[in-house]
Amino acid sequence: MTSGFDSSFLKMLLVTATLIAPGSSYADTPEASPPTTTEESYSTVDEGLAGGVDLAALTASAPVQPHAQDSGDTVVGGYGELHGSWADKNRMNNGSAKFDKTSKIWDFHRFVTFLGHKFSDKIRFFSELEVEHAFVEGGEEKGEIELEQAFLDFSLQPQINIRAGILLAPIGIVNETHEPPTFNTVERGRYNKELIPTTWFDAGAGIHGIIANQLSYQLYLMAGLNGSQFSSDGIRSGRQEGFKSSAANPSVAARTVWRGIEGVAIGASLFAGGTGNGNYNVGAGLFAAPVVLAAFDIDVRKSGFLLRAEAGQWWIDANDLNAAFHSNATGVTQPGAVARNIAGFYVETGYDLGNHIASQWVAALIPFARMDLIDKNSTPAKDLAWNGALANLDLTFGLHYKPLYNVSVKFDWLLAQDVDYLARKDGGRGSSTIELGLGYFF
Amino acid sequence: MSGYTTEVMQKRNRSPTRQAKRTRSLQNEAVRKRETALRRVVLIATLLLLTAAPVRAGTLAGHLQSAFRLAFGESTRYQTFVVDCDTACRATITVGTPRANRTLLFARAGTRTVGWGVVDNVMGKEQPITYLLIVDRNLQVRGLEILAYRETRGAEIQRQAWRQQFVGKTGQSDLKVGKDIDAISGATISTNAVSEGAKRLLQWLHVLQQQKRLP
Repeated sequence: MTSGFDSSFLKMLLVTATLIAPGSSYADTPEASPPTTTEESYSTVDEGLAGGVDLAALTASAPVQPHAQDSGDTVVGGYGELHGSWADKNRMNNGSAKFDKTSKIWDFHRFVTFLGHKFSDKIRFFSELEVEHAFVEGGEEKGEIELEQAFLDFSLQPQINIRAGILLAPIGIVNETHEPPTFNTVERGRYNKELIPTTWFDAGAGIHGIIANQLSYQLYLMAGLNGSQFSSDGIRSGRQEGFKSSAANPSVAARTVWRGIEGVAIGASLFAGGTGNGNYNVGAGLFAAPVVLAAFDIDVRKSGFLLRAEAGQWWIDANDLNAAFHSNATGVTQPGAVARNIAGFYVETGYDLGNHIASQWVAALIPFARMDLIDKNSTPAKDLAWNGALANLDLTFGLHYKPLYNVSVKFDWLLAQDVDYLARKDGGRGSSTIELGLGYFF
Repeated sequence: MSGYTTEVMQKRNRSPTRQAKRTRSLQNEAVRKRETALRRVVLIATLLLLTAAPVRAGTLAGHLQSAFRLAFGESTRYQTFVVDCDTACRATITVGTPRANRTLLFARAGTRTVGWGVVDNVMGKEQPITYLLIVDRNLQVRGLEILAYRETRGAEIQRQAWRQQFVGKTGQSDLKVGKDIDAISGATISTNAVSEGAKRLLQWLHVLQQQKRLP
């Protein structure tokens, strides 16, 4: 290969051009001549108005609104979930550890209001305000109010737009699409709690868009996680949640999803940044005590058959963090230390019987089964042995009924156990929980 | 290894021929690296330019015209027609907010009406989605075009492969996302809104046809 732009390179360009440039294939109309275009669309319809065609006059109806009220430019919406759970936490204990035997709880777990406003065709505002556990006294256990999203979005092209504010971390399926009728289990599942700390949001800015109407992407710079809050319980407590988030460690959060095959969505997510938070014991630099998360997901919905799977791994600079926060006076790593790697996955499958039930009361009826396998110390902290109590296998079996596509009634049975229990080790814990959920979004 | 071998190798490496060759190969390497980098830049630029192509600064009228031509053939022309929907007409219709007069599009090949089109809005998560439904004389769908998609998520419904599912549907079809219309992960509202909208339009057109109000 002597010249840089030889025929093989040009061939590659040509192939790429053919793949990406809009094509059309209306094949079934008998009189159809070679079609002109079908992939056209107008990101702002007012730009497309010309030639005396008045879109407003053409429109057959006023906008059909699932929202409660709509002044045209300001939109109100929301989602929420009420849960009931009956847990037998002692059912499979085979050791001498003492903990709560049973618990029965009714909990309006989340109540979220969505408020959006369109300043112009190009500039919009989105927000989500959440009340957790129906009551706020301070601290998560007693309820919380959280501003989960609050950002301005600037539309440039479908391929690239800008947003800034409090953003949802674009990681995994559920963090961004977490309305209750969009997932089957009553609670979101251990993977979506411990591996991806849903709901994960923070201050940030970035770009997003969609290419060829099938490859969507988001690339944000967000406030990082706070490594001093990592522990053997994982990274979840490291979320700053926009509460005077430290700007010491801006972190990259990126996601891309390919929806080129009908009924299938394949995604990949990345998070990387420092977690030192300016703490000199860890390192005051921008990338002090770095973490990296890589996660993959697939979502298949075809002819009533449902399959969802996600897998991910954290790489954590545990040595530096534990030396600063989880070591005793002589430098010995304590049991509460965070591990060097956290890894896990889940697989969920179901089938929508609603496709075979012709009733206006049944939009979906989905029996499903799910398995989560999370190891919060897949590579333990230096000096610590692998701890089976930090690895969990959860099995969930349930039924998801939807009278409408955005209203849910869910029932499931969650069998949760740690690996120590599975290995019949003393102190192994397990629990069996019956859960009921009501959910909606509009 | 043996010091002799090392010494010999060092001497050989210092030879002018070898040095000249090494310099040339390093220069070639640099050139190759530049070329590779340049190739990458050109490829990325091409990708960006090509993907920018689908959004055209065309006219809405042009888009409507090409949609009808796709459905019925090159010789098709569309015209607008105002359907006079009186109280009796409105009473039978449950599509959105009834209006007294609605504008229909109808397609002619020569002097014959070959089909009809309706432009409708349905609500996405926070913005209306404007689309065109084209049906033939049997009220069977011949095409569905998204005329304006304003939201930041769910733009995948504009894909031809997804819209193609509507071709052949009638008022008797389920038009149910997850059953005969594929779901799109992350676009729950858009897919359901457009499917429900199409279903209601087909019912509306059926009523109009029964009442002999279609041109």
